Amino acid sequence: MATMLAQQLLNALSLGSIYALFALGFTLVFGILGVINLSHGGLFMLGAYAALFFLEAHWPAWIALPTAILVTGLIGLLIDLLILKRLRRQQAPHLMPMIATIGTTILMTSLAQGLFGAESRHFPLSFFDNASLTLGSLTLPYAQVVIILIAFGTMIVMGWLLKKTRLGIALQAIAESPRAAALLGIPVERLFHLTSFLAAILGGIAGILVGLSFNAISPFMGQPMLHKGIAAIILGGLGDMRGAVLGGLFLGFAEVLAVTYLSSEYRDAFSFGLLFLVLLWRPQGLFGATHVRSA
Amino acid sequence: MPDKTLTNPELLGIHQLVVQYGHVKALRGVDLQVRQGELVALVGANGAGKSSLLMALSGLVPMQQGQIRFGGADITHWPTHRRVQGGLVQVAEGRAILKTLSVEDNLRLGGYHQPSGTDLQEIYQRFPILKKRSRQLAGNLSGGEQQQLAIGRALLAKPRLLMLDEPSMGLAPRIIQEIFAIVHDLHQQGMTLLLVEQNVRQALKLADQAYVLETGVITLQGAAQELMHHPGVLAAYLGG
Ligand SMILES: Nc1ncnc2c1ncn2[C@@H]1O[C@H](COP(=O)(O)OP(=O)(O)O)[C@@H](O)[C@H]1O
Ligand SMILES: [Mg+2]
Repeated sequence: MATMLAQQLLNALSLGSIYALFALGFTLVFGILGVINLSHGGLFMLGAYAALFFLEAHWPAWIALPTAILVTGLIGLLIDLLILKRLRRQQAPHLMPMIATIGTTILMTSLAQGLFGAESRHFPLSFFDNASLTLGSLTLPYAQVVIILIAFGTMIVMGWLLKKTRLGIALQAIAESPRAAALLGIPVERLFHLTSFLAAILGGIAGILVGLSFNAISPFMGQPMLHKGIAAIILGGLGDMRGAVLGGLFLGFAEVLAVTYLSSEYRDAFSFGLLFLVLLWRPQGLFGATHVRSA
Repeated sequence: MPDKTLTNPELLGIHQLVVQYGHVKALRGVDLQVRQGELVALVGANGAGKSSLLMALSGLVPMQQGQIRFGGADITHWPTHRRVQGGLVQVAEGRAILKTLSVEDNLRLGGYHQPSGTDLQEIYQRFPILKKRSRQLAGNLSGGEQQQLAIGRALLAKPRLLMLDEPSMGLAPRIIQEIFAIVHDLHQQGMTLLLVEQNVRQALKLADQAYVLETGVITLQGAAQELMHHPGVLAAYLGG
């Protein structure tokens, strides 16, 4: 009984940490660029497929996975340079970047489908098969431990970057007011590019971790993840980095709870129902104050 | 008293600047010059285009026409951060304090492109209240303290020309005197300043040169002492 509970907690933690990682990238772009980047789900999928591509080319995992993450980051950067930058320059209304990034998602999904097929695939990695750590009466699947470590490690590095470095403080300044930041000599445009790059990297890592976790990836995996990312950042309070992480973890726990005590069909209904109730109670999200941004 | 800065070399030169927002012409061909070491006042009523001028100088509003020279270089097409790095620094109207960051983080960002960070103590010496409040959120400072923070932060960017947009706005009379004293000190210490004010009497008292801007056009310019006694200025801005 206790082992079963521990196992469920571990499941929740690994799922939640992936959601948190995804949501962190998503909210980073929203907080700093002030746009909802709906291609974040596409980038997530792309990360997984880039990893598949390099692994199938027989690159060792320790080169293939970082390369896939870097490629995802560069595609995120490219979306910023080719699309978001132009829309910023024209001071386009909020709907424009949303529609444009839906477009890039469709493009990425079709490309993945065309190149790799519509069926779901799995990473050619035997490394994780059945291997597990034993701690007393507890069996911890190796893959899950690695996923949790990578997800939390990445989030800790991001937290340090954002809160403790000069660059991170400049990013916080931009999040509050791009205009005030520019007047301080901060190269705002360049940091917008950097943010898009970093956010895509977070999305890409999340995609790879999902691939490792479920041993299955599909061209369509981005869409449901995007919904969860949106749910997580709404839960956390829009634009709030810590809130996004907590929102993601919350969602992971809600889903595992639903699967364990209800049934797997009700998983999404349960967690989104919970989201609905939370928002009735606290429209600003669980953790966020209302996010105000001046011009 | 003749203006001893009149023979100094030009630091900022604006030529035929036009700024337009949609159909609203905020500036219709403005010429203005600031020489090394000068304090130049730019005065005018609400909506005259003063802030638009400073924002165009900082590269934050697009200009339809005109040329800006700064320190001998044509900076018309430079991005904002490069202008700041070159020493063209603005304390914007309303102060543009980053309210969600600490006082110290605000100051550090002022020196963003000057990573030495050693000058912080100098600013704390000039503005002791900022040292006392260094860990507090900047949003919790009073208006006068925020203005000191904004000026201190701008000084950390090592300005060659410091532009101040209505530094006295919204402050109590006693605090306004403090702010003008700071401006005066900076000028005495050799800083070149472009001061936008609606507090015309005070601004003209401090300035070497002055310009009067009305609905996007410079209508008067000259030595500040002379403008102070100009009938048009007396009637429009100094209550007769
Ligand atoms: N962002 C903007 N969009 C449209 N019109 C603006 C904008 N900023 C200023 N204006 C207009 O330009 C004119 C000059 O404004 P401003 O430069 O703020 O004057 P001042 O600083 O002298 O009060 C005003 O008519 C104002 O309404
Ligand atoms: Mg103004």
